[in-house]
Amino acid sequence: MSTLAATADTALLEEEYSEYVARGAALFEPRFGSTVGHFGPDALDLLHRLTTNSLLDLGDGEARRTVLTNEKGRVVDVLWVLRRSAQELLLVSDAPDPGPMQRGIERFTIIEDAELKDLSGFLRRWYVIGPDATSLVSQLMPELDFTEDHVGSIRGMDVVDGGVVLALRSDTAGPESWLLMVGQPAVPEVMDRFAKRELKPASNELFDFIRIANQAPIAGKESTEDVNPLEVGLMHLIDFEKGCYVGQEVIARLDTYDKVQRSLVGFSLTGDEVDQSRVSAGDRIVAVDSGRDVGWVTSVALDPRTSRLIGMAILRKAYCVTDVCLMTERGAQIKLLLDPRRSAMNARG
Amino acid sequence: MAIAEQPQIVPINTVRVTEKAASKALEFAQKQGRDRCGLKIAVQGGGCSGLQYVLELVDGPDDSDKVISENGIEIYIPKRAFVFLAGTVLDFSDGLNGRGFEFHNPNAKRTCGCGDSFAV
Repeated sequence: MSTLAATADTALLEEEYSEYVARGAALFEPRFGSTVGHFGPDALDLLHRLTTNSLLDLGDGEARRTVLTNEKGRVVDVLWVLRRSAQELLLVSDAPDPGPMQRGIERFTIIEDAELKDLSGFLRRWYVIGPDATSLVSQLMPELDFTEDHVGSIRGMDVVDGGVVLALRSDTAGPESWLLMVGQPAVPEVMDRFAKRELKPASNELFDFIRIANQAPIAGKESTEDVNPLEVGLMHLIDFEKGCYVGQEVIARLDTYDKVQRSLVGFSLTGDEVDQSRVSAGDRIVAVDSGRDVGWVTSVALDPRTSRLIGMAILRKAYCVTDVCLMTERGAQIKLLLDPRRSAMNARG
Repeated sequence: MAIAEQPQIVPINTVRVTEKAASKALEFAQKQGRDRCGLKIAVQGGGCSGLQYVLELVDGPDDSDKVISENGIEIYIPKRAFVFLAGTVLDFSDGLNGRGFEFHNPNAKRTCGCGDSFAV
């Protein structure tokens, strides 16, 4: 990135951040994620047997998040399961490629009457994120009742004939996130509503900043086949009472014997100079004293308030302490933000 | 000198049910008051290793089931499950430490602790 481009991007990010703060929410059109239909009488039962969370009691019009793991207990994908009816589910993921999720389910579909279909091209997605996200979504969709909402709530309506709008209360980028999934016939109407409120999609850089500041892991970046769900803070998506699912023995053993070796942590850069090239996702992290490789960077974003980088990393638990000096493989010194309740929003350099 | 019991060699184009397993299945059928029934053996997704066995007493075969008759009982195997079960012996292990119905499946590269789930 050239200095001029970096300056322009920084200025844009600062402007977007100011607008986000003033409005209390921002609109995003993510370039990642997929929506897959799972159809058939055995679809829900099959997903219950393959994934970490209990799904059998999911009712029509309800959604629950679950983790598809492999036989080694590693994360294949993290997905929302939306039950539209007994034979129609929507599987919603933030992973850039739905392939691993589809293959992970199809591989174990033997005698089950269940079929997957990628619907990503039929449903356009937007996120509304921020402390006032619910208020903004309710203004955009006044036909819907948003009074008793919680993570997993779904609201749905047809704004035009055959043009469905589904609003799912998520926690993808922090405590208040709404994912809007809009059928193609309804897209013009929904975009018109955005325009009337002068809502334009903000950049992916702002999305990443908000998500990282809230230390919210996302499929494809933090939640990958390199880690198990316990290492990336997805314990709340595991039902330890439900019985077997793929990878269950491994995950139960890790939990029972306290064998989880790594943890997801937030960090900020301690140096004064902002230099995007000094750290990026995938960089290894080493302990300065021993030179030991102790983990890797999963996500990085520029903090528009401080013009410094913040990020998330997977680290060996023994190094998730404040008195260890860590740096990336290219020499950027990092400062861990260890309290998960303490978001980087409140932790200025 | 006692002769060690030789492992049962099962042709890979079939599934066997031991006399003990057949007898136990028929006993369960009798308890359920079934006059005529067969034992459906199938494989479905799930379990710790990804695939798990399904055993069910049913009235008769589905159109696509492979039907095998052995030790006085009919076995019905869905064609899509047969590829995972070919060469399997279904046995029954009783007693205090017995595990009930047991699958000895040559296709299983890995089984989970409970023995109900396997990977190929």
